Amino acid sequence: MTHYAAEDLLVRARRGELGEDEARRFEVAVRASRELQLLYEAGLEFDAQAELLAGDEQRMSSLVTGALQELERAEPPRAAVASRRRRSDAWFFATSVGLGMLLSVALASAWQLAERRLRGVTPSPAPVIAAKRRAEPVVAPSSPPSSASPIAELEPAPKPRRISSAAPPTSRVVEAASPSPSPSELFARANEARRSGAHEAAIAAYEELIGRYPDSIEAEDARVLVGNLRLSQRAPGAALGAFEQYGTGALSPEALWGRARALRSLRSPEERQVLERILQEYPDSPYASGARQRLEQL
Amino acid sequence: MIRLVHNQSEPAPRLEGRPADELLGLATAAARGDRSATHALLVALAPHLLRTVRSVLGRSSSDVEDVAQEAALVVLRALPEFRGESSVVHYAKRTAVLVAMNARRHRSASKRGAGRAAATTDVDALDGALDDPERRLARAQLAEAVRELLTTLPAPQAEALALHCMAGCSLAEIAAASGAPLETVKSRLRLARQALRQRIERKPALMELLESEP
Repeated sequence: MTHYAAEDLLVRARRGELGEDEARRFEVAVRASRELQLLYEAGLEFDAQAELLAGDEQRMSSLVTGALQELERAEPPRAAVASRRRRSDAWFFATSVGLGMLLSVALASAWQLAERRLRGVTPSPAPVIAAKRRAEPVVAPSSPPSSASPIAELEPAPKPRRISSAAPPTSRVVEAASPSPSPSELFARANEARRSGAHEAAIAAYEELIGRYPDSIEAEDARVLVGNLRLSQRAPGAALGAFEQYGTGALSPEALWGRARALRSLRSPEERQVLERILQEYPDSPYASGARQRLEQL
Repeated sequence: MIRLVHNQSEPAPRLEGRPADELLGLATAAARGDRSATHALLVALAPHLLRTVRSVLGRSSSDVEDVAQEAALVVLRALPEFRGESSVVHYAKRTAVLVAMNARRHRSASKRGAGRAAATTDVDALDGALDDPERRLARAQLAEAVRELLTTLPAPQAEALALHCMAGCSLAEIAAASGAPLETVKSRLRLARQALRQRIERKPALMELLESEP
């Protein structure tokens, strides 16, 4: 039998994993030590406070999308990296050719000098200068392609922000690689409009995102956000349409709850079925208790 | 008086995410830059990150979402260094604890600088089933005392306390996640709990409430 340390008994008690003997040992340990009692009581409180709250699905979805967006912003798309590598290779090739040419000319000059010395003729610097002039554009390109990038990679990443407060990306590499706004850029714009209270502008931006990138992760979330905005505008028909477009994902309970709210506003008997689905499919979601209460009223 | 309470609030496995083995596969793929694996990993870890950060900062903190996202980024960026010494979930929880403690320390410093009052009890935490309001209030104050302690304890002790109390990690899980020997973790936690007792003993009314029969 495993002999757990007192601290582990506290954790197992919080998880409801204590066996009969362990429960006795737990009681004895906690009664004997004020410190252990405090740790246990505090642990219970943190467990209670850690319960998921209404709206957490949306918060988690924003967290996921925001983190992915920040990651993309910090790390240029692979296409851009590949293109940078190609430029780097070309620069290396050109430099090698230039140096090679310079070396050949220098060797030729040295050979000529030796010949002239043998013949008693003074040297002329002209061929070397001419060679330098030819080599200049190659040896010193106007924009060294990759010299700055290693330094940039060593710099600390900018402080991440939530997607709601995210400004449009400013990375030149990203812009060069994608002339039209990416799903995450459109999503950030729409979120910004929503947060600032410009609901119509937000809906327009979300719908543009859904239209342009219907299969993107951001478009999935956008459907639920449009539904919520339409509900707040007292447009349950439009809201219902938006919620019904949502497939299956992290916001499924939220989308179902939105559908139920829209159907309630429309006084549709279908509301009951949707509430029952929430209870069956997402009994632990924050919406389950609301669904149960509403079903009792119906 | 202590009563044995089985944790009713422990979320269902479906909400908790996937099993650890599957997360390890996702973590490996995400470390290679696989975007869909990164997305799936984030979806699985998001509840853990959000809850851990919320525990450290308090439910009423407006910084929870920002800090949870920061923790998510730290987790993703450090994935290439992750060697699977602990489960991916514990690795993520530890990261969330460290990032949130850092944010809390900064916040405390700026509050002190502004001469504002110390953190108050997280009254939002009192919402919900109040079968014993006074006791619940005492527990909320105790939780706040733990949070305050995180900003004053030496970092390794604070980390062990947060992982144990807030993230519900066992000694072995803390040792695996932090890379410290088990005995060291025990010692850190012992020092942290002594500091907690000393802090609470300065609040006799709170101590009395905690010791009372429920």
